[in-house]
Amino acid sequence: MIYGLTGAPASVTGTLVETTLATVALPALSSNSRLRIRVLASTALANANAKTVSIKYGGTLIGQSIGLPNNLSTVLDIDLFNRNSTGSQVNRSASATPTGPLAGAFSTYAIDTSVPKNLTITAQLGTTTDTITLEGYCVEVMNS
Amino acid sequence: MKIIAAIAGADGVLEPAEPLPDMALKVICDGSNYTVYEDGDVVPGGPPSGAIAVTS
Repeated sequence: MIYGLTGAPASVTGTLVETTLATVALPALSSNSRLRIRVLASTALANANAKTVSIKYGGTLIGQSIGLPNNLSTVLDIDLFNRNSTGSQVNRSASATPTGPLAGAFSTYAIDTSVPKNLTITAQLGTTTDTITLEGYCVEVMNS
Repeated sequence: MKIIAAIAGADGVLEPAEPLPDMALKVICDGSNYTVYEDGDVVPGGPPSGAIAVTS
């Protein structure tokens, strides 16, 4: 089931403080649920200044952009699986290229997914004159 | 257009003081406020940033 889906842009500029650009309310998950998230983000200028997009589930970081400095856009593709338990998860490395072989090990978490939690998408600038735009996102929950 | 204050959450992350409208066309946060453009508003910048115009 899709819990969050939009292609309407949300931007941050003028602050160095990490800023929430989207909040998606998620229900309690089952012991083998899968949380699938795709985020498209862009920046106005391909300069070297720090720019970070983060995805947090119940406050826990589960995905973060890489390479947004010096580029104009990025895609975050997250697959978080409950490991036959509502309190144990596995996911790609929090900062990794979207698909294919990974140098790093998968990340594991101990998030209590037996209760509803918010998923947030945030952005943080290193220079106030830059802009990060959350161009769109889709948040899906699949239950076995 | 609707202005929603940006407030610091418990973890220090800025967040809107109230939920952003589901039907927003565009949202811009400047560190103090979230400016929400909805149907009928003139949306700054025209097409969404990052979009590439295609012409025949």
